[in-house]
Amino acid sequence: MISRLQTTRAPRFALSLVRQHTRALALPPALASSVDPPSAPAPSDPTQDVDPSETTEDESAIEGDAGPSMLAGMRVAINVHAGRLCVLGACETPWGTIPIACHFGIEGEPEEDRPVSLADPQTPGVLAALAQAEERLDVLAKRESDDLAVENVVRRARLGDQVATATIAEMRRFAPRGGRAAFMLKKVTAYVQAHPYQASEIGLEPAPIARVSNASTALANGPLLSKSRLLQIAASLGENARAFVFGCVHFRRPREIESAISEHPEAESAIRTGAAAGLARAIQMVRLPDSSIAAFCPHVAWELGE
Amino acid sequence: MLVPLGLLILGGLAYNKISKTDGASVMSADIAVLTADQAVIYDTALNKTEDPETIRKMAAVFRKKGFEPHAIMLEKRANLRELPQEVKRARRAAFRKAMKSTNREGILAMAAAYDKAGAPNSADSLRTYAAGLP
Repeated sequence: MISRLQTTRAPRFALSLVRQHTRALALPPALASSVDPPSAPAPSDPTQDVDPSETTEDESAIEGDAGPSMLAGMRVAINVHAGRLCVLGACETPWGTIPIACHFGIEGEPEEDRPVSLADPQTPGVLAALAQAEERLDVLAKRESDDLAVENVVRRARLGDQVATATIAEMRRFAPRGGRAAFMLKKVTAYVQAHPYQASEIGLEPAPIARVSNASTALANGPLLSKSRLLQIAASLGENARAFVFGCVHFRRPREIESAISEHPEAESAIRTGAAAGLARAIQMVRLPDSSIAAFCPHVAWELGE
Repeated sequence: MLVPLGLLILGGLAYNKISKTDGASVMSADIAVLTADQAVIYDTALNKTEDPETIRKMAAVFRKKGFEPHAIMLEKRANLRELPQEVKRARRAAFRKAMKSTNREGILAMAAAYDKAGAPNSADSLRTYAAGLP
């Protein structure tokens, strides 16, 4: 896992493609070397990180420098626009795709706006800008990849992933020696401070008690609750069918509802659901132009002069 | 038949009770604060009592004890039944429209209007409905 923090996937097809392009372009040695296959070992099994016997190998990996070039697995779109070389790249990392962009001025004769194909011969100005872009893209990709790796390892450690926890512990262990471990630990610390841990209470908090009023409004705004439909719902509740019907009928009598619940606590949900359905049906009925408001609530009917 | 009779008896009992309550001894003369008993009587009169004459009598008692706002509300409630038919019809239509609406703010505004008009049950029904709206 530690080595994964600094090593990126380098698909063979992408490597060969870039090598092919660099040969065609006859790039300077610095550029050509930056697209060589990564010298770092391939990503190892994360579980190996917690194995003390591999500490030496991991130590070298942590303390390594910036690592291999990130350009190997990067897809780029290059354009000349307004006298500048604009590069947009998508860097594939083990933690996701990172979009990266940069642009550089093209020296020499003015260039027309056009897409740049690496397979075609380019002017010296474009080649120089490409060299600059390559270095810049590599730096940006490494930075973004490190940030993503840090986020990933912290998030996993907070979720209780022992490998991630061990990775951070190893970083802390080797940080006094400086180098990459210190660099990454600094990033981890910054990320942790910027994103403080908020304890999750998922599964621990008491389940919210559904409010009858909320449920009844939602039901009232749904399909028509005819008597037959309510009976159909009741029938689907099996042994709680009577409790549901009781709630439907007595939804306006909270004392009777509570009394029934205290007598039959096992049927509470069915009674309350029935009460919500009964109220919802009453709401649907009172919406009808010539319906009786008294059926919805006698007190409301009195107040409204019915 | 028994229910209106019961309410009438309850109203009468409440009237006697509030008549006997010494308002000055339980509240400051300047601050109209109902005692627990008075609050129950007021709530019953405002929400349950449906005989206008009983409500008016209770309003008079509340006024006598210095609870002017409460007396006004009770009088409004007592007058509800004597409103013109057009007003009653319009209020019923507005209630039905509100119960069909999904405009939470609008429904709550209408509930406040019903409250001011002395129709707290209608207001509560609208608020209950609005509480379930997103």
